[in-house]
Amino acid sequence: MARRPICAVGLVKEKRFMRVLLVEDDGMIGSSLRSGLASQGMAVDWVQNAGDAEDSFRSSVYALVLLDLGLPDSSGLEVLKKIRTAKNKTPILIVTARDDLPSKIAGLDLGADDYIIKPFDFSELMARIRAVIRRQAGHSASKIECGEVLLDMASHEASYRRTRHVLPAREFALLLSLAERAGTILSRSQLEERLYGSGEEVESNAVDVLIFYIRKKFGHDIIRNVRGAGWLIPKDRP
Amino acid sequence: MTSLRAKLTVWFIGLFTVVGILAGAGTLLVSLREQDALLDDQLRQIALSVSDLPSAVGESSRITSGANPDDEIVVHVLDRNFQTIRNSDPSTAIPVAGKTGFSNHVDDGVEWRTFTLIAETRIIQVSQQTELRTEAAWAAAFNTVLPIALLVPLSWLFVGLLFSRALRPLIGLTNELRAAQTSDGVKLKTEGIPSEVVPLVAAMNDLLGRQNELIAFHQRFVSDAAHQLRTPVTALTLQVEELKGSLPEAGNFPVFARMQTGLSRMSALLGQLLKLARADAPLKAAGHETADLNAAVRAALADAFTMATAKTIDLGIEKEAFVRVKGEQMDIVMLVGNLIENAVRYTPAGGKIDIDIAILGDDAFVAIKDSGPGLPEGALARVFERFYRHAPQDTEGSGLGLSIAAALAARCGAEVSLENRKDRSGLIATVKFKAADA
Repeated sequence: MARRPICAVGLVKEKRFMRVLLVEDDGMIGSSLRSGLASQGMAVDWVQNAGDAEDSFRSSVYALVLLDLGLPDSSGLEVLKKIRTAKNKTPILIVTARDDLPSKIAGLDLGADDYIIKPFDFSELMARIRAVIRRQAGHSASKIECGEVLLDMASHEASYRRTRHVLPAREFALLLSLAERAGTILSRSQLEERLYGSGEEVESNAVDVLIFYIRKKFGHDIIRNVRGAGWLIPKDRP
Repeated sequence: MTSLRAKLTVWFIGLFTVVGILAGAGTLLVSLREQDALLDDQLRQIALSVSDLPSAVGESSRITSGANPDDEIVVHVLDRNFQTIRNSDPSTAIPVAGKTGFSNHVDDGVEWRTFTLIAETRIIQVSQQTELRTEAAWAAAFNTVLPIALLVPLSWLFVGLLFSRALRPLIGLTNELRAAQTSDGVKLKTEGIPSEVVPLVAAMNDLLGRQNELIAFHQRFVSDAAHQLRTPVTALTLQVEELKGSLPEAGNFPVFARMQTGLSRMSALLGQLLKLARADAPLKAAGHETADLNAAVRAALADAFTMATAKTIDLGIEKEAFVRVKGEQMDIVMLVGNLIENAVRYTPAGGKIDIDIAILGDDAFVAIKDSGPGLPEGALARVFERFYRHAPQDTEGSGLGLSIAAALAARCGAEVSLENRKDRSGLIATVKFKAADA
């Protein structure tokens, strides 16, 4: 199962002193996560079953819920359903050992914000937490971050590694097409389709010219060639 | 191998043919004899009717029998002193017998059958050429035998149709059984099956049921075990990180890095086990799905691209034909992805991996050609075995990649094969897909 790209639309801004509800029945994982999250400046309430989770949720306000699906008294999906039926929009990140498609779809359909599959390490979890918080915070959707590429939709400014440039419309659109579907190969015809209107005459080397100018500004590696297939922007930071 | 249908068909065709020939021959003999008697009777009737005529009548030089004007009959009337009164064909000279009855004569090379009637005042001799009689007899006999002769080949056709009809349920059963191997919980139907075969079908259903249970149990066990192991592995990973974080000089202990490598290998193995359990699971749908092979190859290529770039391997498509194939898109992405990943893993840094997509007849081929060391012939046969690894144990990978590929291929009716390049300059992994009907 492909992991969800660590891409986020929204303002890149750290939130500090967040209150987090951790629902995890495994003692070892729970205690490690609690101390780990605490070291990141979060206040963690840790409960080990669904009943306690619902009680805590009723009595306090949380910035984030980390929810394990395999709980001893009921399924985490039930907790999720109760929270969402109560019209509560607190970001919920599901933490589970189950990665089959149906349970994943069920979780996302019930209103979970993301899904992280065991086994994971702490830095991966933190990245997901940051992404979920960012998505929650900024519905303005003014920035797209993907791998090492950051695009500002309002100003058409792109930054990659240490360079930063305001791009002409077509160059920006090309970079955006690739960044929106990071980790996916786009062929010449797919890019042309996205960049040019249906009636427009397209020079055969138009895409190459745009890529040439983008690479000249940011360096060759910003867009990768895939021989015989097309171009892509890698999803993960190398 | 003997075919019940062929055997029965041959025996029944033989039987009907022999019966047909015997019946035909018998009918022919009887018919010939009957015709002979009939013609003799005719001669006698003519003789009797001539003898009844007054002596003045009978100017007609020839009497022709009503039915067939070609049945030339010669009537010779004589007085008791053997003096000819009338002869319908004076050119013939048939000796006159002295008593009433049938006789045969050869006159001038022509054979005659004659009936002589000694009446009170006259002798009447009625003759007919034997050749004509024989001809007429055969013609009549032929007409009698003809229906039988026509019925024999008709019976062959009937036998063929009957047996293929009677055995059709068995052919249907075979197809059903073949399909049952790849799908879940199928029961063979007993409707329309001959009652003799029903117990066999019931026994097969029993066996199928038990086999499905066993397979399901095995898959559930592998998948459950892998899922259950995920939580302790996560716990361990987090503990190691916590421990590392709590020691200021943790960077000085390489054991942490080694522990983390070990844990990530363990979680990779768990992931592979789950993939294998999933790839082994039978298809839910009947297998009518089709997939865009080119899109699948691109998706697999994109997944492996980061890993290839990290090893500075030149990975790309060399040439491609555009084709849809049978199978589920996700399966094919994973199948091709496993093979590309395998190629990237075993190709040394700076190498090259080419992918070809080709169509040949009803098949579509994906070939992944790497510039790695290839495999010794002995290993080629074993690489699809679970947990078999040709490379030393410390190479990344679980030894399950090719087993997963093979299981996925089986799900969409494809075949995976590996061969060394002719000049031993690398390995070629080929998948033969069934092209979807256009």
